[in-house]
Amino acid sequence: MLTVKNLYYRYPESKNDVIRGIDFSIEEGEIFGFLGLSDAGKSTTQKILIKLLRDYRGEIIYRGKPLNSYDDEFYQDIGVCFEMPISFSKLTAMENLQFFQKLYKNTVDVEPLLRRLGLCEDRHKKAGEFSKGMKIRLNFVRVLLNNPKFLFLDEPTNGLDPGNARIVKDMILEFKKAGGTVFLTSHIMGDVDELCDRVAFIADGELREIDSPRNLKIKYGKRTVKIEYRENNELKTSEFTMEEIKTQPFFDFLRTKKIETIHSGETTLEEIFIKVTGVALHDQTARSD
Amino acid sequence: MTRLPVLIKGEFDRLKKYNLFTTNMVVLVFWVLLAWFLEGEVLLEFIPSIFLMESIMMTILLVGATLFYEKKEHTINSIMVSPRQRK
Repeated sequence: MLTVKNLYYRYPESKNDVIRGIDFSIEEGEIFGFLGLSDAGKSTTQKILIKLLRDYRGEIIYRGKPLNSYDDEFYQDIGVCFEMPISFSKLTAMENLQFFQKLYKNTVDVEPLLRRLGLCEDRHKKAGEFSKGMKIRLNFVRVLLNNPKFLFLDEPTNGLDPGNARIVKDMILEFKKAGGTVFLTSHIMGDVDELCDRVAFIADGELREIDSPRNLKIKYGKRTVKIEYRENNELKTSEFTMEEIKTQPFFDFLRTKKIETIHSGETTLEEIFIKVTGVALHDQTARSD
Repeated sequence: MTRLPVLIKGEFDRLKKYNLFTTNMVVLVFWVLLAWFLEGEVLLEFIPSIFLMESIMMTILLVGATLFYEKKEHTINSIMVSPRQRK
């Protein structure tokens, strides 16, 4: 659905490229996570993809045509959620949504969305009187009001309580199930792990890894099983490799010991994030030295 | 159909909601009162300065209010990723 080839970008006042030759593609119906440290190039990439920055080098193909050949039809097709809450503070939630609705040819009934996100009773309140969480939920309604096919979400659950974050995540998964495509940026690794089909790690303007969360966990995890057991009233730990767990001594161990916990050596996305982007930081330090 | 009329109407609605029209009216009343107390010939001398001051003051007020609220509301980006035309 969207292919990025050899993308470079430099801000007009900057001497160096902030995006350095990145390549990736996003399939239709996929949730694609884009992760990296602050200032790694995530927001710049998103701004290029939503056409807020235009003087890039490289190629971006959306639905078989260069992105810069699109104009209004592209904006009819997409929904963009910015990191910060966006609303006219002196207008009510409903007035805000009605203003944006008038800009699109296709719109949805916002009442069910407001109800689901717990804003229905407050829809005639001024947006400026909303809490941060309410403003973020209003943002999410605004993103969906043109019935988009492609969502660009920047930290969509940041600042939400766990209950509302759950609702937003369920809505993202339902959007995907209905055939929608999502480009997601987030620092909340639990959300990324739960939502994304594939993730890309960007560091220092370059892509360091692209794969599914599962494959990355296998790649970066240890192929071991760690067992905690109690012996002579003392807590002990033993580690077995994947090859060892198929052998008789391992079964004997399980039968004879008083096992308390068994953990696989699978790593978390958070650890992978630190490993992948941490390496980049060392590289950066070495270069600047 | 372009979205320009929608944007202009939205802008007027917000000028009303954000009390910028009211402020404008207060300033207008101030100029009318000033004109009331001035003699005809003196008033004619003052009129160019009044027009100049009025337009400068209103521009400063509008730009200031726009910048102040944009810092809190971030709405320009959202409008920039919306379509220009509705068909």
